[in-house]
Amino acid sequence: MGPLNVTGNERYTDPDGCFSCHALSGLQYIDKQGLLRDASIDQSHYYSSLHGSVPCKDCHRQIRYYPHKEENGEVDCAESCHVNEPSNGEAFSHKEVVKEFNDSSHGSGASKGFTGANRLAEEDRSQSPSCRRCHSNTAYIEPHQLDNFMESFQHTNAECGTCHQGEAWRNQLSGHILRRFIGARWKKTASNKICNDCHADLQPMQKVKLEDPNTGEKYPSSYRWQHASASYAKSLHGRLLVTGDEAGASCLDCHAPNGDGLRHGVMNAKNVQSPTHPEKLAETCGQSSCHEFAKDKKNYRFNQTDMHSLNHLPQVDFQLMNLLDEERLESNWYRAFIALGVICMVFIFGHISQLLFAWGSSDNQPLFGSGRFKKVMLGRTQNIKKKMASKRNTSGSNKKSITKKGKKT
Amino acid sequence: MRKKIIIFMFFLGFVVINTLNAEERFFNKKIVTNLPFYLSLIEFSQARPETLTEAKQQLLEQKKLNLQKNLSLNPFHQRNSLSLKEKLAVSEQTFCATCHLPLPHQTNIRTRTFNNMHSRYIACETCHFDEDKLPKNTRLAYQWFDYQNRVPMKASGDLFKIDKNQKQKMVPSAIKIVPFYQGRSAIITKQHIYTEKLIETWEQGDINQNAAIKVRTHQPLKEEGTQCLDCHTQSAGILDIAALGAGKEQLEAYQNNTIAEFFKHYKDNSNRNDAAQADTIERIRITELLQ
Repeated sequence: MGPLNVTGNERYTDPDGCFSCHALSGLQYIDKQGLLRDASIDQSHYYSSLHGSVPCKDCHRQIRYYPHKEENGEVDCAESCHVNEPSNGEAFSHKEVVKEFNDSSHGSGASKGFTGANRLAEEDRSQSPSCRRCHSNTAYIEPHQLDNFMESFQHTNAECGTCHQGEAWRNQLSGHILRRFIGARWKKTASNKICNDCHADLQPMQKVKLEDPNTGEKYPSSYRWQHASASYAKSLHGRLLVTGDEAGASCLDCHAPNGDGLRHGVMNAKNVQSPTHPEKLAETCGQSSCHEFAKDKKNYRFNQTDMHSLNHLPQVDFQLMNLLDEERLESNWYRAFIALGVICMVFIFGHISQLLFAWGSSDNQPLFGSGRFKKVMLGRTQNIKKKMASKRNTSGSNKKSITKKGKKT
Repeated sequence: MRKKIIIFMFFLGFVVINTLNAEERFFNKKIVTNLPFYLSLIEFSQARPETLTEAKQQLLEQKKLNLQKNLSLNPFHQRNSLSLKEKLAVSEQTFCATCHLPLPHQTNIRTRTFNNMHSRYIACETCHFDEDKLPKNTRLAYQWFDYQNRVPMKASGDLFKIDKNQKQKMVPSAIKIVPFYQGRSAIITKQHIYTEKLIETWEQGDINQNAAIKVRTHQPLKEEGTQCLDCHTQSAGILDIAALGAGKEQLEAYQNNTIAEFFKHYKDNSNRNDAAQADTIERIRITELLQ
């Protein structure tokens, strides 16, 4: 295990005896798919992780026998567990979040049936992320945020249990609420990173087929959609966050805002319920103190700003470009390319044809410049052919030509 | 002056190369005159025709398993875990790993993880040598052995993978408990000239020759290794753990092992707990483990 700075103490005494075996390290085998499977669980990592206060059987419900049946270990994230939610005392559950997730555009991703074996199938076949793809079971406080945490909470100790002795405090507050405050909400860049882990990876994104929410039809993703992460990074929203200014909007701030939802309802902009649907944009943009004026109908043009404009992209990746994609024509890069390209082609064609067919031709009359001046003002009409001929005649007697020249000068 | 230095360097190089050669010559000579016990058993073994056809059939039916690379999705409870390469560095330095996967136990779903865990610190031959093949009135001794430097190690409690607090720790997998015969390690090392030749003949040979190699190399071995309670017992087990350097706590944990006790409950102790028959194999309620 990697270095962990924050450690939680043992919160319960392993009621099902799972750690009798699973605490041993090196419980590994290679399964039929060639996948290395590891049944070992580092206790100190587990107890200091987000699910450290949840006993094993709250998630792996059907495990009663050994050898375990694979299907009995399957985890369903929508199930309730024995941790009580402090405000109403009800059993805690991710049910609502899972419901919202299932209705979102990521909804085809798995939220149940998780085992060690189907990680491979998930990676190979699933286009949408599952719960576990984004939600890691990392430590409460990431090692790089520890200094920040210690300063904000005026802590000198990194071992939670030294001060927070009460079981209720640990199970309820630190188990589910503390993380929300010091984790994702602390830095918007952290939540953006989760989106970017997939969306910034162009090659898989090109293969993505989107679903039309109104007709249910599948259609290939657009060039603009594929580059959404790159164009966001160049927008003011993205740039503010990178400089540490939390006033910038994160991906979720627009695509799954904080309103009534649970921040999992990312939807296709064609969906009427989507916060990025043209009709909802006034509300979505207006939620922030920066753009409150966006709610005013008179300012409707503001909402038409393209937040993922391809003009922001620093360079155009021709290799990855889908030539049949209409949306790429919206970029000024392409408009300029097309206009200048035509002019360039005219010049190039003219130049080449002159080289090939008109080199040394008498029809080659100058339109301006010194040639024109000589022709019009001085009346020199002697063409090149005649010059060449006269040269050939004089080439036999070089001396004469020199003397002629000498006389002239 | 410079000339002298150059001459000296040449001389030094000459000496080094000569000593290396001498060592190699010495080593080869030693192999010829004094084979490791396992190799001497192979050399004197004969392949019977029926075992040959069986081995040939096995080779024909064998499917090559491609090891998957690291997935972007780590196991949920191991987001900070070791890399795949580190995890697989379990028994790769053994002679058996020339052909077998680094985590060799695959099919028996009851014991495979535990057996693979043991292969971190116990040589394959320790469990899989067939005692019946030993000459009469001889016994194998067991000692720590460093596969990397090919030298026996002194007994020490630090070499065990469990410390006083019963916490697991990572110790280089190159050090394992290895059978010794008449004071010498009985195993073949991967660097041994026999292994090199074996690989060469295997790659060049046809299926009949390879079947013969398969049969002969496995002749001194038994497919089914020792059972949990052969070692994890209060009475004298196969290994003398105290002599291997185990402290008091380690000895206690070794002798009263809960998992070995739990496995005692299974009636069917054959090697038939195949993943293919997952529906029919014997399963026991885990609560019995806690009682």
